[in-house]
Amino acid sequence: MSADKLIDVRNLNVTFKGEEGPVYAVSDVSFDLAAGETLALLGESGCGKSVTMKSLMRLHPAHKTRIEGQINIDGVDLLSMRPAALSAMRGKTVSMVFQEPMLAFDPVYTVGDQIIESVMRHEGFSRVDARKRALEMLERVRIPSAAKRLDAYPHEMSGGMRQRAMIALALACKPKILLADEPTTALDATVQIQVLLLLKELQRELGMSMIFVTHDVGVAIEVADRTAVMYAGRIIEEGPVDDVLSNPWHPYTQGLLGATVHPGMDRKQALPAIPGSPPQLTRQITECAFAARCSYRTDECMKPMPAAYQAQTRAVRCIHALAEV
Amino acid sequence: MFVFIIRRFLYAIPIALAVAAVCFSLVHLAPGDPLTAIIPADAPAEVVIAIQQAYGMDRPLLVQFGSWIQRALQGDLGVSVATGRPVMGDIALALSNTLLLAFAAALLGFLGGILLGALAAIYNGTWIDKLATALAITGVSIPHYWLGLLLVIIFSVHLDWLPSMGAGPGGSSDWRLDWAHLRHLVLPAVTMCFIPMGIVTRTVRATVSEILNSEFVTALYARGLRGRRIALHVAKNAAPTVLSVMGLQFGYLLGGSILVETVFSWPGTGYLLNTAIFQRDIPLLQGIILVLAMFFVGLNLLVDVLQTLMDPRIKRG
Repeated sequence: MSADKLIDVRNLNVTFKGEEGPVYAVSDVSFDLAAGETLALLGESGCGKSVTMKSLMRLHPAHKTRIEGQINIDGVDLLSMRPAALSAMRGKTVSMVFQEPMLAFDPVYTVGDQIIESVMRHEGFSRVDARKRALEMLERVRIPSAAKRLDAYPHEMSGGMRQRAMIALALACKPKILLADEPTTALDATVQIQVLLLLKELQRELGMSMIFVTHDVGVAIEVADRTAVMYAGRIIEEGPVDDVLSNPWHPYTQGLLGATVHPGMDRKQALPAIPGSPPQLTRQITECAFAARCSYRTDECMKPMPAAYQAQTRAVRCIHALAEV
Repeated sequence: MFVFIIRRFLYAIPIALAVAAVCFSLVHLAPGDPLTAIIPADAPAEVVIAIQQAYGMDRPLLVQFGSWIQRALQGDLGVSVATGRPVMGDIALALSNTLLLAFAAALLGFLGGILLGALAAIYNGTWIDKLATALAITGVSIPHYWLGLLLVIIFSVHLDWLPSMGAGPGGSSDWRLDWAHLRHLVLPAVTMCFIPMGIVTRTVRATVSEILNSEFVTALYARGLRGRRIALHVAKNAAPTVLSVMGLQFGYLLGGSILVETVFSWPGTGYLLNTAIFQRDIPLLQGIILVLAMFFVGLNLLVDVLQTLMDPRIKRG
């Protein structure tokens, strides 16, 4: 485990205790994040991206979740942290931007009060100073007439403005790491770009690291240095975003890119889709999780998977890809 | 905000008028002439007419209604047929006793309900939740007059700890804050607190567990907030819903205590209403119903205004 990593996750398993047996939501996930770096967690709905993110702040209800493995955040072992240290870390060292700002803001508190509350909690500011910081943050995310918006309720703002306010809230205590859980998915296309550019700019100014969860390949290319592609609770391919997306090794990544609209495409041509659907996670899958849908499948694929194959900056979990490289 | 309160207040006026009309028409809906109770059966016709004129019963209905409203607005609800005393004085005294009982029952019921409901929501699915829910269902299901009788048998007859009759020692009906009077309050208040407690428990449990499962609570944890701060957020979100249920329950406590007041001979409006019904004392009956109904209208108004003050999402004005 290297010390210069802000986040170091090794062999993370997240299991939910459901009423109809356990759900293996995340299996054997390992990744790391260096200072100033942006990692895009890429994958379809239900592949475990958000579950992985929430694990990084231990936000899952403790009595219904089992988290195994190693998570180191800024050199501290997250899974053995006491509640007091954990809550001091949340929002200060690591901060999160949620997908739906309408749901993530408390509806009966003004936006300003929620930022002020956070700043007073972590920075030990007086109310007056915290209000100054809140105003400064709203201006920083370029919310028009910020002083007025400080006393607005979340429902009084537009979707784009709400997400800017959410970003202001997440960055108010100058975190080292920002976890962004599909922050642009709920926004319309033009606002999406503005928010993406804003996030990148703020990241540079504050020198933050960022993990960006998205299902949108275009967004991943736009923001990330590296990407980790997730499928059925596993990371199946990882590497520099340009390499992975220009020359995908894993059949799933290839399929995902094949199913993406890009400029210069023939309009009459049907968009190719990966046949079948992802496996149920109610059983522990030891073989390749993608095998059932894979056109390269052989008998070997149904045997327990070996560890991910590492090649310099890239890693992949496919025995056939190994042979090719 | 001020505009909203004025407007909400204006809306209450037609409701109040309609309620008054129903109260007034009671006289004519009830079988038999309201004056039969005081007119001897063998009275000559001219005496009957004279009495009718004295009570204003010979004028057109609408005129009677108008003058009744006019006098009611001045605090004059007429004279009791049975006692000859002004109805307003009797009602005012009874109302103070009923309010006292309702406040005591509401205090017990609401505090108990909030506590049980919050515990049930926090420990959702555990034995604490099941116990609280069972208590809530029991509280709502037990007929309160039966519970009252049971408590009388246990605590008054067998244990002889608490009195079972009246609002004070020696049947005194004016209230003072001392143990001699408080003792009389205990059993009726406990009897009456069970239904509001059950209903508030269920409301708080449902509201709070929904809030606890919402994403913004996860987001609050993600900001590093803990225990008391989060409880504050949850309480502020739950308050409008819980408050409106409490307002309604308080209204029921005011109007629905007839049986309990009768069981404990508590000199409140319910007891008075019971007396008025049995004595066919229509002016008294009208007066009590009107006053209780106005309290209900006023209470709803108050809850609406408070709700709007607390939840910024409810449109104002």
